[in-house]
Amino acid sequence: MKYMLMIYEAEDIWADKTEEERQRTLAGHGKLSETLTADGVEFSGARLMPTATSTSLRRRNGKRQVIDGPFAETKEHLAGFYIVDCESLDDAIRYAELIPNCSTGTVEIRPLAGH
Amino acid sequence: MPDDRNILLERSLRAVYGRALGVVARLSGDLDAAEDAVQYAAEQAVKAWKAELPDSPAAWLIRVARNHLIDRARRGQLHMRSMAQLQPLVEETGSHDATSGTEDGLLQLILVCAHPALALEAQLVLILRVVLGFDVSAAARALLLSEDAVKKRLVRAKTMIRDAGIPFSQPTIQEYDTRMPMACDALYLMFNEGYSRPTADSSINLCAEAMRLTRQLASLERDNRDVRSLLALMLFGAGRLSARYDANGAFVPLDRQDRNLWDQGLIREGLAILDSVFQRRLPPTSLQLQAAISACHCREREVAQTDWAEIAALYERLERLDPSPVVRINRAAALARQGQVEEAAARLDALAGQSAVRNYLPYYTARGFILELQGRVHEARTAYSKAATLIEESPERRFLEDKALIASVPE
Repeated sequence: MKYMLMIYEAEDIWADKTEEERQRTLAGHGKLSETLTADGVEFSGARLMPTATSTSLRRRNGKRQVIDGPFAETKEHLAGFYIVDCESLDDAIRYAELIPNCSTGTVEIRPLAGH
Repeated sequence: MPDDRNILLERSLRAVYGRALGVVARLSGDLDAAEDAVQYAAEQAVKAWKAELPDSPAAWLIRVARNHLIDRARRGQLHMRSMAQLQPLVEETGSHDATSGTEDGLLQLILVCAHPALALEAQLVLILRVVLGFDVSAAARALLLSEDAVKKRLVRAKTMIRDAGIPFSQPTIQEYDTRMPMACDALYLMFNEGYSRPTADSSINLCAEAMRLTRQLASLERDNRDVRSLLALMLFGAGRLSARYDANGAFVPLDRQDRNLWDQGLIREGLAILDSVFQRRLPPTSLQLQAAISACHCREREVAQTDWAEIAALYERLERLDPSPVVRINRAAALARQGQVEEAAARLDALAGQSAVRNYLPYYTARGFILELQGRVHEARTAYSKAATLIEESPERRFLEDKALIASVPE
């Protein structure tokens, strides 16, 4: 099954990190990539730019509305994601646990439909 | 005697249903499909077993359910995540005795149902219904829920298991630890359901079944205090079971039981297990304290020797871990027995009007008892009458109706 691991975090957490803390977080993501590769798990993923760069679009009554900013005004935003192709939810949880942002934000795990 | 045969058939079915489901669910990875298939097999069994019970009812059910699943999958009626999923089903067909591993299958199914990705309230419903074979109304009664709520939770939980890919795999040691409390809760409810309805006709012996499963969990997890405390608690309950009803089937409360009828073998086993749990000198868990309270009753050959001060102290510690109405009610009752009637009445009054106790049987029996001690006979009578309306026709109900009558006699 394919799962999306969505990393939600308050944006100032990354901004407030010292260079050393950032390196440690990145190293954690590197470790996860290595583990996934070693386990033969197909995956992809990316870090997202801050919500200041977000654009939201919707169409209502045939009218197109383009709005700057994220979809919802919440404290925690989608900061990045992985898509992993593994056996079960338990495997997905094990990989999600390796995401260093677990300790500062939340990682939501959802199965992709049709996989 | 077709009736006897039907009862035998139904008992054989219920005894193996959960185990068969455990195996088929593990093989197929799809709980809903497995339940359908085992249900189908059970319907076939009702017809086929009338002529002759098979040597191994579990193996029979598993074989028929498995073939049914394979058929459905081949005809494309079954949504399988992949055809690879079907492979284990096909491979195990016709292999050695299919019942080997059924016990593991059942325990594993309990632990899958206690998966942390399922909503806590859904886990218990799922274990009771799917693994332990409670029907919706029995599950609703055991959990103090409406039948509608039980159904809704079941549907949601099964959808989650299938669509989120919750696996039927052996949990790791760490996972055992997080899921064990829920498994214990479910087995405890199962035992209680059997304990409070021992005469329920064609049902299998729920108490014995719950104890058997708890023993197995205890043998898997030598170090889990909750499992061992639960086993001790069940042994104490089972040890007193034969004194709980008189020759006419009337309910006999603890303080009037003929203690010579207690099974001292079971009680000794429970006391030894509980001692070993307390010897670890860790802060006691809720189940450990509950077992300790039960042990206080079981140790004494005479009701007059009961150490109510110790029991009230244990309830006080329990209330700190679990301030639920049932614990607070029992603590009040223990205080009353110890002689602190006014304190007990005040504690019970603090619960009055809360929605959790509005239709809660133990609240009204405790209330009746404390009012009786206070000499407030008319109010006691009202409380016992209310209690009697809260349970179905049973020996306990007749006991409470008697209490309501007795309390109405002027002093």
